Amino acid sequence: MGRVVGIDLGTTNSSVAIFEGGAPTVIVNAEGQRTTPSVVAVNPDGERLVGVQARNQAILNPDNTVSSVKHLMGQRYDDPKIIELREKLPYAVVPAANDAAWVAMAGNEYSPPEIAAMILTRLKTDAEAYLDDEVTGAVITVPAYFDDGQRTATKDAGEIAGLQVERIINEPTAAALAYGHSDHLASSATDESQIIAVYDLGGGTFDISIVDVSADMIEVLATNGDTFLGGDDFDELIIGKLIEDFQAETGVNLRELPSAQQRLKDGAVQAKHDLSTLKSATVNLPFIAADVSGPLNLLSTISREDFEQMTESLVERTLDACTRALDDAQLSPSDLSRVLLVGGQTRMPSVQRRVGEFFGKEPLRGINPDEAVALGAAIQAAALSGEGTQKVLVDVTPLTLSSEDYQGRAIPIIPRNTAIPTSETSHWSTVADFQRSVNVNVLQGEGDMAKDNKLLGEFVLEGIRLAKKGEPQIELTFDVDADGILHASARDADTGAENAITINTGTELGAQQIEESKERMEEFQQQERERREID
Amino acid sequence: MGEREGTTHYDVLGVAPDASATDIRRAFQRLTLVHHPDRNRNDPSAGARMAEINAAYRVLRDRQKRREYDASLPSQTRDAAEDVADDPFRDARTHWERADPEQREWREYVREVRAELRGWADSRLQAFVLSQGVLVSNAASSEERRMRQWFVDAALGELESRRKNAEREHAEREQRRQAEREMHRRAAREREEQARREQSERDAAERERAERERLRREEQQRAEQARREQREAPPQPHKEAVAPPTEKRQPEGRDWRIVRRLAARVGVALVVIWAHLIAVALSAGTDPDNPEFASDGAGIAAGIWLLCTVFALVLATADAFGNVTEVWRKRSIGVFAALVVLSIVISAVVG
Repeated sequence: MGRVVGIDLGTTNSSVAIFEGGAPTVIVNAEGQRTTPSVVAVNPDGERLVGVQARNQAILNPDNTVSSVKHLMGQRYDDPKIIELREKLPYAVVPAANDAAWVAMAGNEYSPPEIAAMILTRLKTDAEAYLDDEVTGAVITVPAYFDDGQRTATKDAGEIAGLQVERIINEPTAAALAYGHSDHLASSATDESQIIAVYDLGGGTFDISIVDVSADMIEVLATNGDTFLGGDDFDELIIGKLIEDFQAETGVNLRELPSAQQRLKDGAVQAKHDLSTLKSATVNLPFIAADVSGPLNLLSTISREDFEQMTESLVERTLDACTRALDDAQLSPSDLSRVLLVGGQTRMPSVQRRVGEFFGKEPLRGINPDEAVALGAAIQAAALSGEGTQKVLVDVTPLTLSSEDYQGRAIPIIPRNTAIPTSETSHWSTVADFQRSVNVNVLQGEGDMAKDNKLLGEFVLEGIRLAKKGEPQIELTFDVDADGILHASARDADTGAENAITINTGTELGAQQIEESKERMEEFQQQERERREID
Repeated sequence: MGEREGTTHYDVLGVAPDASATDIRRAFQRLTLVHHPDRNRNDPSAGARMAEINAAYRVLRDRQKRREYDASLPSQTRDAAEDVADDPFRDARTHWERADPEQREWREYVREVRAELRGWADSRLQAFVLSQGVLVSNAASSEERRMRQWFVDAALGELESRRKNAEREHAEREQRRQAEREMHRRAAREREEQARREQSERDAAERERAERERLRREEQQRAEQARREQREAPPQPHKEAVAPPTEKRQPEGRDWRIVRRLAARVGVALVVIWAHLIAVALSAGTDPDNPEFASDGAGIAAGIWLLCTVFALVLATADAFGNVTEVWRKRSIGVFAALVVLSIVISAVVG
């Protein structure tokens, strides 16, 4: 039997860790780095590149370089968030046959899980090289605020990469696991449990989880977040400022220059990183554009103060989510013993300061915010393989699961922050005399009306007993498994007619598509192996 | 899914219904460590079991939800759940209890104390609460204090439940009495109604009977009168045929009386007519049976007589069935009389 690793599949960076010798360790990739950029590209020679190599050629090949694919996982092409995102992405997002958002690279179309699988495959290969052993399974992390479709897509990605997905766990929960495992807990507390807040601001997503950590158990009390709020948005603000300044100076709009986008992004990220330690940062992009007078250079200085002012509203949004999570857990900031910061964006001093102020305590920095999630995933992988005695993880559903009634309202069946696994049965009936079938629409989200929530799937229950309206007894059961994935079933209590589905969001892949992707993946790996041998 | 029949959330967590929040949390943790799917990778039912535990804990950890849940429990279920024979969860529960013998003893003890307290009089319970209350504040150890506090709570709980029971019984009695009163009132109303209905029915029957009586008397009187008239002034035979006692048609008229009347009238009419015909023929010196009888005047008279006969027969029949109105009767009498006079005149002339 092969090894099971923990994988943090991030928006901008991913990493893989393994539990060895009683502690989790991050595995260094072939380039000697502890994280691998979540970037996939096809270069003009038709070679597929993943990670640092892909990112390094992004400037030259922006159309065929896919980054931040995590945002597209399990999303519909016509989702408002995706429409907005499509504007910003340098590569083409295309609608698939089932309306899912796919990406186009070098004339081929790929599903987001397939792109993610390329990254996972790369991580798997690196881990196998490091361990000198086969890797067969993985615990993969997702943002706590990921909905059902996004989780399923992540699971599909693991399958395409040839990994047995042992469990999908939430990133902040994984971070809490890593924290619970570290020496901090052992030294600060013995038997007593402590409630901590995990503030996870990553490259593309934000999560806040309130977690109760005790000797044997990690229990999530409440979670909240935003899957479209992360470091990318901070970068975007710097890019916006650079473009604005440049236009004021030269009259050239860099937005319309595809070749400039990746360089602007790189410059902005560099400046952002610099601003974490410096009072001001300079962005210098020579020959970024040209006009009649010749090539134009971009030279701009951003002060930390300016940057903090620009990003004020983003930080504010994260704190709003923190308030909601605390409300759901029925706790106040003073009930928390610690605040754990996770995700690269929490390196920003103003984020640390604001979070510290909000919770009234100095955030904990002892744990590497880039690695905590992967380490936690590795611990969970060990727990599932029965290696050592690990804490048991009790997680929650981030979003309310509901069903639509005949007036278009969303009737909650499993409220948010319900511990999983869970199973809930609700009773429904018909609205017309002698109605033979009912449509069941399964929704996820906090809106009162069905249309304000995400439609996870729909199915029809046929063969209802012939009766006056309101008489038949229809039982609708929602089961959420330990991965947080929903299975819905409906049943007529009188006739026994039954219909069950594992939620099909319409964006996910069929078995056949997964097989095809797997084959392509094999090809790709073969290609890569050959290339390495030549190298 | 909530709970299965006969299994309360307390049973699922294996705690007493009055367990403290800490006990509940501890029970949840202990069960989670045993039953979580992560710890039972090869047991497909672990998920469902954990879902049950989660559901129970979700309710019992929240003070508000727990209160509501307690209120929804039938009070005896908590103790009687153990006795439910077909409880599908029994095995699991005993298993859990076995996992914690201390817990189980405590529950038994709790039940015993409860039973004991139930047998006490109110005054004794009150005295017990007071004495234990003093002992609580003087308890030597926290253990003892907790125990005594529990005794006090149990006794107070018992008193409270008695008070509630009494109240409920009182309310129920009151309600029952109210319902009875209401029922009596309704029954009385119904009886009255019934009596009124019967009375009106009787009255209607009475009226009908009186009416029938009156009609019968009238008829009798008419018949009497007719008979008297017949006796005093024997009617003209012709008239007799067409002017029978002026009886309006009666609903019960079509019976044997009609037939009898018809037969009588037709018979009388025929006898009178033939007697008259023979008399006329004789007075004309002609034998009606003789073929030479057919002299002019006698022939005409005989023809008229035949007409009269037919007319009388038709009238008698129609009258017997009551289809002749007063006007027509008078007219036909007039016509008949005219015919008779005419025949007499003709026979006199011919004769």
